[in-house]
Amino acid sequence: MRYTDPSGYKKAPVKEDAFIMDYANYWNRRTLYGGGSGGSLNSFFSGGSGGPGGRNGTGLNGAYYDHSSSTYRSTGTGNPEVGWDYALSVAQNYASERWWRQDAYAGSSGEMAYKGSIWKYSSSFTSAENIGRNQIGDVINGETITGFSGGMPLRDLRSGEGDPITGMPSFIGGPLRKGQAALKVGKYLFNPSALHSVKKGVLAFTKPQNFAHIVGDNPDILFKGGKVFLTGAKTSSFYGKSYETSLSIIDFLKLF
Amino acid sequence: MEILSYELRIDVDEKYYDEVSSIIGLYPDSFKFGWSYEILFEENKENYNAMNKFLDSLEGKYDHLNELGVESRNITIWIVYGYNNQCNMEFEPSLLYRLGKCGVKLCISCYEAGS
Repeated sequence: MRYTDPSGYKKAPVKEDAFIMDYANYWNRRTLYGGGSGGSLNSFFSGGSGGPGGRNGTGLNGAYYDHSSSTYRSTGTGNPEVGWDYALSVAQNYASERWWRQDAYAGSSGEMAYKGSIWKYSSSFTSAENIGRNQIGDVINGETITGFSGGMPLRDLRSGEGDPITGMPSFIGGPLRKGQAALKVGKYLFNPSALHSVKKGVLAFTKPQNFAHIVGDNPDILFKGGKVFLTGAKTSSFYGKSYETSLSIIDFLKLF
Repeated sequence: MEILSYELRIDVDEKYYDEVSSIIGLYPDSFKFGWSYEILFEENKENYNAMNKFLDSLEGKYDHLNELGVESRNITIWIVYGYNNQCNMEFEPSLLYRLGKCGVKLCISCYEAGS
């Protein structure tokens, strides 16, 4: 946030700015295409030596959300725009699979075949083969995450860096309505309606008496280092200050 | 679908929730998120000024609340507005004056609710 007062006063941006709720474009187009098109060398599948990344081609029945154009797109040739219904059905198809369908190139060497648009961000997996061996219901710090409500697609949460592994990012808190934009906190995309409801829970849990004198009563939420922080809202006199809650990101996600 | 709600939140020890309710005459449906009384704005219904209602409920009760450890800084009024397309608000000076006089903070959170 930068603004200039006609008098010449300038409020310096704080470091946390990068994490505060905004609509920033986190994934660039090239990264998004990693799961389903183009054979991008920068795709997340390309990390492993001999992995399938470089062989990514046009996919079948896949969809992803393109942050740069704010549209849902097919992984098929040309990546045409698709509707929400289609994108949702793709996500739901994957969500109902017993195994993480790293079908992008799952299978043994001679039989590897592209079947979908699954991609992932975590650097802990570098090949489709590895991911394909992991069961749904991932484990994070000993806790099993079996899924979330609202038709949320599967996510890799084991590093606390949960990002979607289907061809489209999911929105924590359920699908978006037409015309609704996802709220982004850190690397996570939220249905804004659900986020505001959960925010109430976060504030109540943290107790205003503990943080209100530091970050005000209506702070922004941000994630940093696996922890949930509150930061003074830009319109308040608490802007630039932050308060570390006792909630981890995992605790936070469980509130949805 | 626009969603507009007004909330009165009082940061008070859990053991005093019921007492707070009876003092100010507002009884929340749930204490899941602390003491919080919500009024949902519904377009096709006759509406009243929710913020004035909150202030009316609080008026003359501050001493009682104080006995439970509730000071004006522990009381907040919230407008949570899930808007569609535009988010415009307007407040009467008399209302803001009232808020200021009581020392009650107004918190506003808006988000795009979509259609």
